[in-house]
Amino acid sequence: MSERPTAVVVDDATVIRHSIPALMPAFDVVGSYPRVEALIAERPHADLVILDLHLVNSAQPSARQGVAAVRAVVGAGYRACVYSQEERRFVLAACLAAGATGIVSKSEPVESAQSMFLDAMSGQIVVPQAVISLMELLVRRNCITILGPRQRQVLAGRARGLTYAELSRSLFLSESTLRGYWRELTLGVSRYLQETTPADIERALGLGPGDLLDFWPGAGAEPTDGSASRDWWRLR
Amino acid sequence: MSRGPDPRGASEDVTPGPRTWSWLGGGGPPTTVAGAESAVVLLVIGARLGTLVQALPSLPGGVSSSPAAAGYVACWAAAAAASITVSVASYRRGRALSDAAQVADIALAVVIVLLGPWTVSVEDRIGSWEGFQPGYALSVVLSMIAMRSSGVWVAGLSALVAAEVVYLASASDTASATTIVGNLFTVIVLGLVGRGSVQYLRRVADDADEARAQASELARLREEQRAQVAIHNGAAVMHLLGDPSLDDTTRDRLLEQAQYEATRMRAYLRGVPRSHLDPGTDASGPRPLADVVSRRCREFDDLVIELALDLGQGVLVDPAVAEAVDNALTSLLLNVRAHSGARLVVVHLDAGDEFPPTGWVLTVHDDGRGFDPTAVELGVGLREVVHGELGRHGVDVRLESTSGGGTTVTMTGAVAGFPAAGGGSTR
Repeated sequence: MSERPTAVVVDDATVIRHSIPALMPAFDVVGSYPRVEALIAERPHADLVILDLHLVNSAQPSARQGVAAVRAVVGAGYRACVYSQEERRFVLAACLAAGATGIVSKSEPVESAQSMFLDAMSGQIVVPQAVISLMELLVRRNCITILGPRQRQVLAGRARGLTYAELSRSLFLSESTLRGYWRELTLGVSRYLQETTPADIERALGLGPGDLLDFWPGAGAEPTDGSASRDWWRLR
Repeated sequence: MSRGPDPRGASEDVTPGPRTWSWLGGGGPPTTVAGAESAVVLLVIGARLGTLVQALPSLPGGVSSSPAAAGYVACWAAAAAASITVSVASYRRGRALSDAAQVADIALAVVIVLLGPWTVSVEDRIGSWEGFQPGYALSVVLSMIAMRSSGVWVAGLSALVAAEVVYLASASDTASATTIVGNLFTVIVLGLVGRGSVQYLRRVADDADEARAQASELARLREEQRAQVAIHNGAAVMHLLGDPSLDDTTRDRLLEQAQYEATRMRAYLRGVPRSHLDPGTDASGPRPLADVVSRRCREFDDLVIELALDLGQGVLVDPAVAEAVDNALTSLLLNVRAHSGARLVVVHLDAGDEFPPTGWVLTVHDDGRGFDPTAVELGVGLREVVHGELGRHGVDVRLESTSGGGTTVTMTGAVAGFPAAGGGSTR
């Protein structure tokens, strides 16, 4: 790893690819690609891949996208952080299940987004608020049982939107201690999502059978024919 | 309970109010101070005129057997005139006579009783209406029970008892001692019991009037609070609409909100419960709290609101509680929109791990600029719509905020059919 953290950007929007290096000076952008296949073909060294989920457009109709893109990037040995306008929580959770290290919304302020990318580069799991409430639901339904009481308190607070500063005042713990609990917690949840079948999660969340099949990794076989990738993971 | 000056003695107006005797048509006297006084007057009239009516048939016999017929007739006439005067005057006043008038009445009765040994034959003095004096004295004792001054009452009763002792002692040759003592006890005991009953009746009437006054004041305050609830959110929307820097999208949303608030205000003016405005909603039955929350939050789509309601699915609350939460949520989100500068609002509902759930916790958190609750006086929205309304419906409210550190409002309530958990306290 070089002294400064490095990233590559995979986004079909040219403006995004070119603006991130200018807007986020805290890390070096060592490459930018319109599609995952180009990244994997070149395989530059980087601490993080900043990955858009929607990569199919008229210029690249057969591009791998969505959970398939996450899985391909992670499979190539990268740490992937989704950078997308996607807000459906099950889709976002599916990205974590596919191995993404983080999920950052494109609506985040630039400084906040840069900070989240740096967290992801350091190995922290970056989870959006929508997925935090999903995590709490899974814990409360006893799907994830590895949590200690402090981790449960931190999860409950974060699920209600509380900041580390607010939690610190109510739990009488330092913010760094709370961040430590959160790090362990998110790693545990990420592992759970990667190891659990969509059917188990559907049962845990009270969803109907097959509700997650459309976008959950591993729920369907990825076709070898790249042209079918648009149908394999449907963005609706 | 504190009491003000006694209003009964404040006026000497002898004309009863138009409603003083309206209850004679049926239904009994009202449970007010005036009603209690008119009931006492009725007792006085009954005792005085009733005694007169009972004594009247014996008048010829008493005259014929009297050793001083002219004196007997004079005493009888004086007693009858006094009873009629007291009855008519009391009826016209609508309350008992003044103490001074009653002292005169007592003095006359004492004289009549003391003249009894000279005007009534010894055989008639006890046990007959020819000797009307003991009965008359008893009727005066019963009309005394309404006196204001206890000291005057004791003195009057003592004087009458003393006069009756003299009267009865003069008949000791024809009546046994037990009969004489029994007559005296009748006067004393009925006097004491009647006096105690009237005083208790007046206390009850006082308390009833005071309770009515308090209820009236509470109703006025409640109406004021309802008006504040109905108007506050509308005023906030109008304030936001007056911002010239609003973009078109936000203005359109605010106009929608303004229409809704205008409907609410019209409903308040018409006296129609707001819940009746929602078509397709069973206003009488419990309502799913998560639906209430999500529907309200959807109307604030200019705010970034993250809804986390999964843990509260299935929670039903009474319609009044649902409406109070709905209003509180509206007020909170308007506050967020107007003052917080928040980037993210998280609305979280949790029914706990019990099944079926008995309680719920609704948390509204924004990451805005916050404020110091100890240094800032809460506006009508937070004070009345959030704290006041929710507290009145048994929902506990806790507000936590720090300047620059966001704001969290936590509402804790009971599922429909279960008692309120926190007693509706607010902090």
